[in-house]
Amino acid sequence: MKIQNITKQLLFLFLGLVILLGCDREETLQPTAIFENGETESTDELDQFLKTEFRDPYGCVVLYKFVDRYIDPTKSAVPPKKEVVRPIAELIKQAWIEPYNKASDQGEDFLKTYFPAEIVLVGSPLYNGDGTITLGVADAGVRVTLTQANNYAPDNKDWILQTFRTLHHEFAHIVDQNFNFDVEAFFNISSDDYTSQGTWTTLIVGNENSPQSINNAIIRGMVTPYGTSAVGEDFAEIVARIITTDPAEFEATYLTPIDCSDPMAPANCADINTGKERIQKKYDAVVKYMKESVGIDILVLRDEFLNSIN
Amino acid sequence: MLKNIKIYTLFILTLGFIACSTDNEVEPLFEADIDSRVDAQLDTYRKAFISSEFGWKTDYRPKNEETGIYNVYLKFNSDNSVEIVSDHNNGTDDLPSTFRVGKGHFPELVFENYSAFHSLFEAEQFRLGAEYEFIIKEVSENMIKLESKTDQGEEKSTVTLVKATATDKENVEKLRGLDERVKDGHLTTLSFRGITVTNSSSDITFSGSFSYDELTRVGTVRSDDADGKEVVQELAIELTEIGFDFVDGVTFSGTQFKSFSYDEVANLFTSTVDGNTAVISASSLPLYINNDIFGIGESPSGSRFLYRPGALGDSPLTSTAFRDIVAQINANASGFGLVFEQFIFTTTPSNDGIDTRLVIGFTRPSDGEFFTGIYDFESTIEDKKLKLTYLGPNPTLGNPGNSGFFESIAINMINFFSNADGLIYTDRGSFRSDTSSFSNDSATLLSVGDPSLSVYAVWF
Repeated sequence: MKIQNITKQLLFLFLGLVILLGCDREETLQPTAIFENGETESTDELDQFLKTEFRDPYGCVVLYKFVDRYIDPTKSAVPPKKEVVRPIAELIKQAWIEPYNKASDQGEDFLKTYFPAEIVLVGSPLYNGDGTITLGVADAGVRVTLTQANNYAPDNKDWILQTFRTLHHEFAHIVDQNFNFDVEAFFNISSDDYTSQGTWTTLIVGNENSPQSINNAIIRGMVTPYGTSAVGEDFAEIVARIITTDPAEFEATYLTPIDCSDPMAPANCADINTGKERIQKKYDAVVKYMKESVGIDILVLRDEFLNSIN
Repeated sequence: MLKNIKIYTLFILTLGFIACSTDNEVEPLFEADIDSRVDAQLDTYRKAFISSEFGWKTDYRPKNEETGIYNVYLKFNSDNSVEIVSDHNNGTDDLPSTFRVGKGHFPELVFENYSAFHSLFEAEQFRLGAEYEFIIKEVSENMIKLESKTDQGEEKSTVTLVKATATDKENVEKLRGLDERVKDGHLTTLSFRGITVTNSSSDITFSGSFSYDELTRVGTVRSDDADGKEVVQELAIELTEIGFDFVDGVTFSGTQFKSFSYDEVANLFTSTVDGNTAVISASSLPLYINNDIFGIGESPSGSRFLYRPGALGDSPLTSTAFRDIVAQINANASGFGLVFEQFIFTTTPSNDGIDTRLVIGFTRPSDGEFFTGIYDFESTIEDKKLKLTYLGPNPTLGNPGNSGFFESIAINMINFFSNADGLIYTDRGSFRSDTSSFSNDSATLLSVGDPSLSVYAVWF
């Protein structure tokens, strides 16, 4: 009798479970993105220009209207003046897209594949909150942030050089992320001479491009103080300097050894020459990698870039 | 047994009912989903911004009562453009922008391109505490209340937009550039400004110093109270067509003054209330010498007072007459291939004996060599003035031979420091010149013996 009762109870419990599991509970919540962008296509002349020149051919959205989620929340910045956006966009075409198109063995297809999905224009530097500033950012190979756009003027050659140095630096990271550069071999050229975290600024004397600052980097086998901060930055800095520096100036500054028997030679002449030998190795590695792995003749790219801004 | 069957049947039916029920059978609280309702609310806000025929006007105070007023007119348009007219920076930064009524954590208004708000935001390393992203707090037909999205802490600045009239835009335009005449040093070479109040019998009933911070739009009046203690009043200012207003008014000798008129010919501001007249004007010596002298040499920026015009730039707070002294030194030194580079001044008036030192530096452009002359003084503070007794070239420090050699070349600068009537020392906030801007403290020294001589330098 007791066994019968237990069997009946189990049977009803089983039936109950079948009923519970057999019914399909409908979802009552229909989640959709809170931040979904439902804006319609802008008919503004500038927006149409950016669509035609960047979004349609390269799948790249040029963002110049301030949206705080494109800025690191620990940093402060202001958006660009509307009047500088189109000339800067045209300069990007002239000094970035066209040189790459000419230097790539894939022609336009290279940038159609690897051009960043977003270019964010910021009017000011990115103020870091500790008194330092950030000039450019490349995020996960899809977004490049260009700063200080409000300093643009057609005759402001310093701004143009600095900006495109930053841009080519950031794009070098994107190339690196897509074409697996031999980082280890590159690292071994300078190895112990990379600076510890956050100390690269101690190499700066006056400003980052002063002869003393550059020499402090050369001694370590790098082209700039920032290049000493990590092997990835070392690679990006060399790429940017090769592209944006007159070849004779690059050779004299970074490659040609100093005659240490000259009475005017600096006291650390031998160290500088050792550093230049290292830079030569890195230079050769970068030119070879860009040519053979990426399909970019970086020397053609350099010539086209320098022609475009002069 | 039958009883058990009924219980089990009821149990199964209940389970089935619970399992198969859906919330669709519950009446929804809202007809539309949350996104549609948020979008509708934002659209309502956006239409409110656009709806005002003549736009909106606001008295913008980036840090609420801590700052003066920027007059701003805004016209929001249906194509998302916004016209901004302000009295900031002579309207230079009133640039075309778009606006966005969007959603972050709260409904927000963002000015998307650089304009006057952004200029105020980034000015002097964000010192003003301005903003260009706002949270929409309240919207009605004639008024919109906004709150800063980026202010930190509990106290956030608020902005109230009031529906503009047909003339408001033009009224703001008329104010552009008028802040120039309130600025310290406007159309004068005199280093100080003071405020005096006279009664109907022309007796002076109040006198104090007056200075104006052009970024915060705050005027500072310093004076002594009845017990001889320094009183500092920081007064928010709003520009007007005829001059300016103290936003909250200010009381001197029992009379409250609010509106001041600018006299273009005399370059001064006046306000008359009940026969009492307050005048703000430039002066060669301060009407009130503040207590800054008691902190000389104790700046957090450092104890060395550096004047180095070539590298750090120039300031109108250094007088033409002082620059003439430098020019004379250069003329004296040119025969030796030297040029004046800098002076570094250190003083500790609380010490006895040689407590003050002046180090004058020269460079030789031909080879970049640097030379110094080092001169000793003894200091006292009398009537809030720094009085220095010159003791001669230092006999041991640096190269004593050079110090002696440079003494005659630089004698006019040495005499500036040791003039018998003393020096008036005034703190000047962060260092700013025509080429440089540092957070280091700056200050001026002015010769009482010859008030045309003043020098502006930085502490480091």
